[in-house]
Amino acid sequence: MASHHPVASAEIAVDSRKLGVWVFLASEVIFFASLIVSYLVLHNRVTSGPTAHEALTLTIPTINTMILLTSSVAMVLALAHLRDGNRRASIAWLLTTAWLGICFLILKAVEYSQHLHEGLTPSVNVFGSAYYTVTGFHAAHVAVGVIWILSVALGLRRRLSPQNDVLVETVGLYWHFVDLVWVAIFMVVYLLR
Amino acid sequence: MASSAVALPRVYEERGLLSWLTTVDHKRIGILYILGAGFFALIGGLEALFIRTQLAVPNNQVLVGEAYNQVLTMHGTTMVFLVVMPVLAGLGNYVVPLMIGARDMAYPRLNAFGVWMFLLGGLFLNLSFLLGGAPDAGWFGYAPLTAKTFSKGTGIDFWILGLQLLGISSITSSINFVSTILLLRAPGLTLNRLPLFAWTTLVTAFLILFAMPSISAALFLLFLDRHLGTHFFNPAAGGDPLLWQHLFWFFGHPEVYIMILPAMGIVSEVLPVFSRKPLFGYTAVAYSSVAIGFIGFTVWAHHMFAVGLPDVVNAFFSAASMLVAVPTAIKVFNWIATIWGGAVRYRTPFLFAAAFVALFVIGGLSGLFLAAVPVDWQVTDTYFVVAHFHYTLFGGSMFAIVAGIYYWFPKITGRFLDERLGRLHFALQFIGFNLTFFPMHFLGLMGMPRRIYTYAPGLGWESLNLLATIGAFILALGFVVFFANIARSLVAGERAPDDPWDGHTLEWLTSSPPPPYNFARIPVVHSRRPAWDRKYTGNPHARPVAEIAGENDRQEGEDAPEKPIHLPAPSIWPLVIAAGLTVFALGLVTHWLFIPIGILLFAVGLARWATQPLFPEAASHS
Amino acid sequence: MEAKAHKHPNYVLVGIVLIVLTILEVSVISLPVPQLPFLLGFAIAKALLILMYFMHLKFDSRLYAVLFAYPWPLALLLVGMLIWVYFGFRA
Repeated sequence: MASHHPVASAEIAVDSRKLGVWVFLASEVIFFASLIVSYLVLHNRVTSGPTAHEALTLTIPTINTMILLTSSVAMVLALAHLRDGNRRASIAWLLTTAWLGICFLILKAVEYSQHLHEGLTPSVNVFGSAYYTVTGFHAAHVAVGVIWILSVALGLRRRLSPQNDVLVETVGLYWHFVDLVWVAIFMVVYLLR
Repeated sequence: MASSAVALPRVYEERGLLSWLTTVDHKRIGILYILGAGFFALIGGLEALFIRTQLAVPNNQVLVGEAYNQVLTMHGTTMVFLVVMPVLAGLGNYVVPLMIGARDMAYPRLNAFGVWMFLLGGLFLNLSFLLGGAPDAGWFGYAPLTAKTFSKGTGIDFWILGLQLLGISSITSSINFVSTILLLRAPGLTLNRLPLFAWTTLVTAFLILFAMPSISAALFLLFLDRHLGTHFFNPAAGGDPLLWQHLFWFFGHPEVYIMILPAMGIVSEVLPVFSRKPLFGYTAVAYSSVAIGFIGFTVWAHHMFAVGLPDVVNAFFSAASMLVAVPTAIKVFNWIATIWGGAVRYRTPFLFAAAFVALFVIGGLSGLFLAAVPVDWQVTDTYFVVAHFHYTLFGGSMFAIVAGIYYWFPKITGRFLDERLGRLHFALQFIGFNLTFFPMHFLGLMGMPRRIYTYAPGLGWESLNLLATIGAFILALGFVVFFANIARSLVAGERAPDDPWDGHTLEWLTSSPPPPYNFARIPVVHSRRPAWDRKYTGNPHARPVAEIAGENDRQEGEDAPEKPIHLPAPSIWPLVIAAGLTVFALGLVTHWLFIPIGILLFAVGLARWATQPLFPEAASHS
Repeated sequence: MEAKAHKHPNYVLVGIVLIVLTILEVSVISLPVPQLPFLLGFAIAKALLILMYFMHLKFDSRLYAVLFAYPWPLALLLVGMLIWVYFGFRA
C-alpha cells in the first residue's frame, strides 16, 4: 500500500476554475432536464386555447438556432485568438458573440409578441405555461451569458492574455452549454410539436 | 510546529467582528456553519417540543390547526435544510481541507458566499413567522395544497424562495468540495488513500449537485403557478400535482443520502481511531458510498407507492430501494468488524458512533419494510414512517454529527469537551431518543396518521404518545447538557494536545487549533493512515516512536523549492452578494422596493468581487 | 494555461456542419419517415460536436468529461421514467 513514489495530485493539468464551471454545468443538466420533462409530459394536455401545433412556427426558431450556432463559432474563435496572443481580435470576437446573443434575444421577444398577439399566454393553458417557462429560462441563461461576455470583453479586458485565457474559456463553456440546451429545446419544443 | 526554514505568510487580522464578516478561511467558515446550524437546531428543537406537547394527550389545545401545520412544516424544513445539511457542510469545511493537506478550499470567497447564503436564507425562512405566518404545507410542499387557492398567505412564498436561497448555498459549497477534494490533495494522497469522511463528502457534493436542480426547477414552477397564473400543478387546466411529487422526490430521496453519507464518513473516522485499528474493508466502504451515490437517484417513487403508479413502475422502485440495503449493509458489517478485536477506548465520540451503528440499523430495517409495496400501502402516512425516518436522520445523522463534534472539538478549539458531561449527554440522548421514536413504530401499525394535530381518546394511542412526549423532553435535556458542555469547555475545558486521540489522519499533524495556513509544510502521504504511520513504524508490535508532528516532513526528503505561502485576502463582497439575493427575495414576497435594492447590492458585490485580486501579495510580485 | 501555440481545429467547418445538420432537422419533419429516430440522431450529433470541439472535451483532461457525463444517466432516468409513467410505451 505504501508507495514510495507519491503522486503529486495537485499538479495534474486541470484548472480549478474550469473544473468548477464544468461541475456547475453538469448540475444545470438536471435543471433543464426537469424543465424539459415537465414540458414533455404536460404540453399535450391542453383543455382550451392554442396547442403547440397551432401556435408554434419554425421560421424564427430556425433562424435563432443558426444565430446561436454561429455565436458559438465566434466564441471559440475568441479563445483561439487569445491563445495565439491576439488580444484585440479576441475581444472583437467576444463582442460579436455578445451581439449575436442580443440578436437571439430580440428575435425571441418578437416571437413572444406574436404568440401573445395570437392569444398564447403563460396562463391561457398548460402548454402556454410550459412553453414560456422552458424557453424563458433558456433566454434568461442567454441574457446572463451576454452580460458575462460583455464584462469579460470590456470590464476585464486588461487581464486577458494567453496565460490568463481561463477568463474567456470559462464564459465560453457556459455559452456553448446554453447553445447545447437550445439544441435540445429546438428539437423537443419546435420539431416534435 | 512551524519550522524556521519556511517563510510564514502574512496573516490577516484575526480579531473583531469585521474579521469574521470578511473571512475566507475555511476553518472560520466551518465554525460559522456549525454555529448557525446550532442556532437553528434550537428553533427546530423547540418546534419539536411544541409538537410533542400538543400530541401528549388526546384533544389537546396547545397548538392546533394552522399553527400546528406551520410548526410541523418549519420543524421538518429547519432540521433538513438548516441543521443537518449545514452542520455537515461546516464539519466538512473545517476538517476536509486539513484531512487532505490543503491550505484552504479551492474557491475561498465562494466558500464565504455559501455560508452567508445559508445564514441569511435560514433567517429569511424564519422571518415568515413574523411576516404573516410560516409555510404550512409540510416540508414536502405537496401540490395542490401549495396553490394560491389553498395557501393564500405569503408563507409558501417564503418557503419557495428560502429553499432557493439555501439551494444556491448548497450548490456553491458542493462545487467547492468537488474541486477541493479532486485538485488540492497533498502529494501522495491518492483517491485510494483518501480519508472516508472526505470520500463521503465528495459523493455527497455530487448528490447535492444533481438533486438540488430538480427541486429548484419545481420551486420555480410552483412560484409561477402562484404568481403568473401558470397551470403546472393545476389539474383543472391539464396540470398535474403528481409532477410536483416526481420532481420533489427526485431531489428528496437523494437528499436523504445527502444527510446520511457524511455522517457515515464521520463514523468511519471515529470508530477506527477509538478501536485503535485501521478501518476494516476501506475499499468496500468507499465504493459502497459511491454506489449509494448512484442508486440513491433511482428510488424516488418509493415515496409515491400510494398515488396509483402502474404496478410495474412500483416494482422497479421497490427493487431499487431494496438494492440500497446492499451497500449500506456492507458498511455496517465493516464498522462492526472494525470494532471487533480492537483495543476500544469508550470515550464519548465512540459511544455516539457506536450508537449510530445500532440505531441506523433499526432505521434501515424499517426502511426495508417500507420499500415493500404492500407493507407501504398498509403503513404509508402513518407514524411508522415518522419512526423510520427519525431513526435514520436522528439516530443516524444526528448521533454521528454529535460524535464528530466531540471528536473534532479539541482540534477546533484546543480544548476537550468534558467527558463526564459527555457521558451524561449520551445517556440522556440515547434513552430520550429511543423513548420518543420507538413507540411510534407501534402507533403507526395501530393506524395513527402522521401530520394530524390531535386525536380522539379511546383509540389505544394515549400511553404511547405520552411516552413519546416524555422521551422528547429527556432528549431535549440531553441537548441542554450538550450546549452547557460546549459553553463550559470553551472557557474551562481541559487543554487538548495536537493529537489528542492518537489519530490516523492529517488534521492531527498540525496544531490545535490550526494556524490560518494549516500546515507550514504540506505533508507527503504514503499510506491511508499518514498520521498514525508517522507515530508508529507500521510494525504491529512496535512501540510508539516519539516524534513531533510535522517534524517528519524534512526527513522524508521533501526537496521541493521553498515557495512563499500566500493566504487569500479577506473580502466583504461574498456577504454583500448574499445579502443582495436575500433582499431581492424579500422584495418578491413583501414590498417591491426591496427588489431594486437587492439587485443593486448583488451587482455591486459581483463587480467588486470580480475585480478584487484573491492574492494581492502575489499579484503585486508579478 | 497551454503556453504552446497549438494548432486549432477548423472551428468554422464545425460550425458549417452544425448548420447543415440543422437544415436536415428542419427538412426531415416534412418527409414521410419516422421522425423521432432522425431528430434524436441529429440533435445528439450536434450536441457531441459542440461538446467535443467548442467545449474542447476532445482535447482536454478526461476529468472534465467524466464529471460532465455523470448527470446524463440520471437525467435520462428522470425523463424516461416520467415518459413511461405518463404515456406508457406509446411515446
